Amino acid sequence: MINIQRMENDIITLSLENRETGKNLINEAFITHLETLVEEIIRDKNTLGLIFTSSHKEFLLGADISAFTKGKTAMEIFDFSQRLQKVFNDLEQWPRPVVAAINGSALGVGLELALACDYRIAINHHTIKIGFPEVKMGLMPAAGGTRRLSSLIGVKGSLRILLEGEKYTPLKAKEHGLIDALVETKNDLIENAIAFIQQYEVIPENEKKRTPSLSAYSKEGQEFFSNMAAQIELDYRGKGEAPKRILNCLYETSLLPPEAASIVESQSFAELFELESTQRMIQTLYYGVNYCRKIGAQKKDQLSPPRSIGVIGAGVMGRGISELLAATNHQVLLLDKDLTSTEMGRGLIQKDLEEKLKRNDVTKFAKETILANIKTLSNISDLAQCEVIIETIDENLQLKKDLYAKIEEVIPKETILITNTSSFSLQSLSENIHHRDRFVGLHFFSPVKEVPLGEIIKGDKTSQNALIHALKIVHQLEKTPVVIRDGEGFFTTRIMMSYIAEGLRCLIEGMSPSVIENAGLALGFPQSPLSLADHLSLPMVEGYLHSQIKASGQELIRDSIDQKILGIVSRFTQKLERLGSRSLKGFYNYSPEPELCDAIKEYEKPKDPTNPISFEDIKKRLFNIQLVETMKCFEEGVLNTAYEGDVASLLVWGFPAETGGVVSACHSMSNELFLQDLQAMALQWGERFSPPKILKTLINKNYNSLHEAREILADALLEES
Amino acid sequence: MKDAFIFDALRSPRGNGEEGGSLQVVKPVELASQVLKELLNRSNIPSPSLDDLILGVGAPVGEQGGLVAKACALHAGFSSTLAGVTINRSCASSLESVNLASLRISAGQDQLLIAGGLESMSRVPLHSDGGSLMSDPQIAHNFIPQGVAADLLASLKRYSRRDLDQWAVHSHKKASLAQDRAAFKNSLLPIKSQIGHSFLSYDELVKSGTTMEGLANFEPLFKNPGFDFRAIFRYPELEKIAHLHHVGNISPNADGAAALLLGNGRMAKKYELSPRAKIRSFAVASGDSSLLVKGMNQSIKKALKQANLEIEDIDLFEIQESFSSVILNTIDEFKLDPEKVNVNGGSIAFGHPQGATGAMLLISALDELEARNQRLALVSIGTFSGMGVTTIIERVDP
Repeated sequence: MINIQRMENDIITLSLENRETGKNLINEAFITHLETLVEEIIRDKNTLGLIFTSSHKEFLLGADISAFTKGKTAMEIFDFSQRLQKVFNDLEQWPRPVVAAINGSALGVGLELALACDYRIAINHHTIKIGFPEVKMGLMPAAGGTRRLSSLIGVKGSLRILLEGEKYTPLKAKEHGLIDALVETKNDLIENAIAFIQQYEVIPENEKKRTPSLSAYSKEGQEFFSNMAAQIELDYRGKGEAPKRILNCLYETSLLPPEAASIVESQSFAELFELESTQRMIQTLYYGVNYCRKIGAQKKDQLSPPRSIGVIGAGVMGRGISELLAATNHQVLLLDKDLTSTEMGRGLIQKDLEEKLKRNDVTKFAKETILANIKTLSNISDLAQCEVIIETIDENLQLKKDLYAKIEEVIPKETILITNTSSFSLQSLSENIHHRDRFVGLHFFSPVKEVPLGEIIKGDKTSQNALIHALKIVHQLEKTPVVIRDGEGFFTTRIMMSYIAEGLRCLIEGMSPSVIENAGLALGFPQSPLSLADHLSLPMVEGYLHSQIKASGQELIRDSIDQKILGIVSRFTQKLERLGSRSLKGFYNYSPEPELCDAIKEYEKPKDPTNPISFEDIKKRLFNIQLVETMKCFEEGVLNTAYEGDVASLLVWGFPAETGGVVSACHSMSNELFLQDLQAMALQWGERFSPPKILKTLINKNYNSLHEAREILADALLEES
Repeated sequence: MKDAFIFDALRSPRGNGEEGGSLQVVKPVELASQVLKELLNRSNIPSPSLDDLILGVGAPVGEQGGLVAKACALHAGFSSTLAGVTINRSCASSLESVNLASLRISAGQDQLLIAGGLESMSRVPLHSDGGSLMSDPQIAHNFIPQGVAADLLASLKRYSRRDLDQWAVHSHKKASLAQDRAAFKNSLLPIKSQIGHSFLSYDELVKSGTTMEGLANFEPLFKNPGFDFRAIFRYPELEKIAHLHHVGNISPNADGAAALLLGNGRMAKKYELSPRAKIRSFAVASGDSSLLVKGMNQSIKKALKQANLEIEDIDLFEIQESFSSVILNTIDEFKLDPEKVNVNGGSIAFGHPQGATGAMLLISALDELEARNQRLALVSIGTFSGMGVTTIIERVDP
């Protein structure tokens, strides 16, 4: 569990190795062992110092969440946290020097242990991650981390680190003050740790690193806590209570002695843990993401990595995908419409990497490796050497179809062809493709590096081999895959479009665009409907709406609401030549600051006093339309599992995490009342709100049956693949 | 109910409440004591005859903390039999002191009281008292700073920067004219050092040369995305908050102290005092903190109703000019004749010594009623967290 070794120089090394949990995670048994060891060491007057390191790949990751979530009461969680606090406090107060020799990732409690030490040294390797990711799952540190971090680097820096939940490389962690020194090898690590210990018998108080506390009683402190409370409400809306609790903890810590601050922290943690919103976030962001990743990981051994991947199109998506592939050691062959464009694309990647190097986001070595991995092609026939081809050209159906025909002429029949289309169905794209089994969709999102999901689209003809290739790429890019059945807009685009279209309907009905936009933001979405449309680009929205109208056979009905919605978008793309945020002109003006443009404000009509539409009405429409559309995706088999729907909704369009995701939101509302609500909405706002059959079935049976249905569907998918 | 009369009133000049202000070298206790001592002297009242000393303070901490009213009583050399109580209702603290004094007299429990307030913002800065309302993350989730709220009000009412600046220019102009004709001389006590050297004898923040062009150079003060969205989610018809308030169209921080001598009819006879006015009514109310004015407007309505008066009956208004949008809104809301509002300038010109302002506005109103030979004045202050306090006074025939 923890390997103890006393060296000749009377320094003890505790090497963490939790065999029970596989990865180095903290669980009950681990803490008990740590408590015993620390007690013994502290009692022994002969020990000159203590080094924590690990026998695992990781230093120490967080607490074992599965042990955590199973049947624990808030009181037990509180006690658990207090136990950790106690053993870390004992370490901190022991007068002899204690060093964290960080040889692998230190996250959550792992970093809290390091902070309880007097000195932190880490190996400078970019695969090592250091940080407090708890907030992402609605939680916060609970082993004295908030107090120790703020006394080390100050309240302001601590708040940023705790809220962002970022996992830093050792280099970045040192910049933030989390790490004191970097070394290159494991040998250096222990040598440096020993050297630090041998400097001191006891570390004098004045040599301990401290940042003066920002008291909530100072003018600066008051303003800070007051401003941040408001800023957090805005920036973390929909993301649970943890950000607010973290701020409150830092506020109280600034006013309290350590013992009392420790109780506040444990209390906050236990209270957070008990909240339904936290449980939902854990469910989706831990269990859900792991579930999806497992699908990707299971396939990885069936194939050797592709020799080389051709990327067609050196636009924003093509460049993003190429850079990421190259960074994960793939050979990328980039091709745009001619060599000049291709070279220009590669030049932009180089520029991007240079900026990152300046910000310390990549090392010089990594930058060189990535660039070396990206080669340019001058001719489409050069694609013959690729094992996999990813197409990322403009979202234009005809262009794509023509391109596929040309590609197929030059490539062997076993080459996998992947499209990064964001809305066209595989079926509509594959008309010109002979070997449709090789064709699979892989929808990445902009910005490619940041959005941690890949939506894989499986067409009717898509082969198992092609699917596995797509899963493998997503896995290697360290993203989470979801597998969606082919259809217009797949899953993510379809739901986002339902939200945008509902916003546009409200606009057609004469509601103020500000109110519509604020309703989306107030619901907790990072982007309001019109701003999301601008972000996706208006021609893409136009294309999607158009194909939907075509599919529903409404083309000849001139005055339908759908036609009117399309009319608005077409007016912007064609007549006003406003295409969205990338060209700085869309529904909004983007320069100098985003502001709704006058043309969109024209749609607002004076309020009808006899039929007032409330802010709450609009919020409900924007929210419920996504639930209805999601249930339809389930019904049609586009979406197979609840986890995939939840995970995609959180990671792609920022569905409020505290709901657990769009499918969980359906679940928690699947009752008679919701059914009646939707029926009433269908009468008032239109048929699109009519409750889908699947909802009625769910309600008529019971909640469990949906869960089971989801599992059955998941099993079926696994078997099939 | 017995009448509560105002016998006399006195105030210090308003000094610049920032570093370098002329009153920065004067302790808040000294500042208030000079006013208190002179108020009793000139009325010839022995301090043991007072029932209590009620002082409002905006930030009752540090030099202004720990029951500063008692410290002032002692420092002024008053009898140890005189107690003292400190009142806090933020910007309306001393108006609240006067209202409380009037209540105690009307109820027959006290006969003679001093009520007023003090604030030395150059020494005890704004918000030194902290407080959960503003900075406790778990309490402050409704908090919107008054500056953002004032900008919200301007946005909702579509006041332009020009509208706001015009009022500010107007305020300085009226104040400066009033200074020129020595309108404040009866109630203004120059503050002096022990050796008789004058620290300040006039309201030093008034700038007679204030122009629209001059104000145009100031940058907005209250931009803050977090607070903006708190406000916008309550008023979603706004796409954004127009940030229009700046240092030139809000009330600057100031130092000052003011006090009124109040009592009943028996005391008037006993000490041969002629009542100058009586308190007709007072009220407090509170409303949506993001709008500043709802509580204040409600307190005006309540006070009018209590006094059985209509808004048209009031001859003069002293409305706290914390922000230009607030005063413009009050004028709009009650359809006031601007010629009756803050006729000698307001806090935008004079500055706002938080705990002393209410008493100072009452003093201005009283002096001007006498100068114009009018009867009724209404004083109202909108303050922190959506609260408002109003007092109506009526002159008494000699």
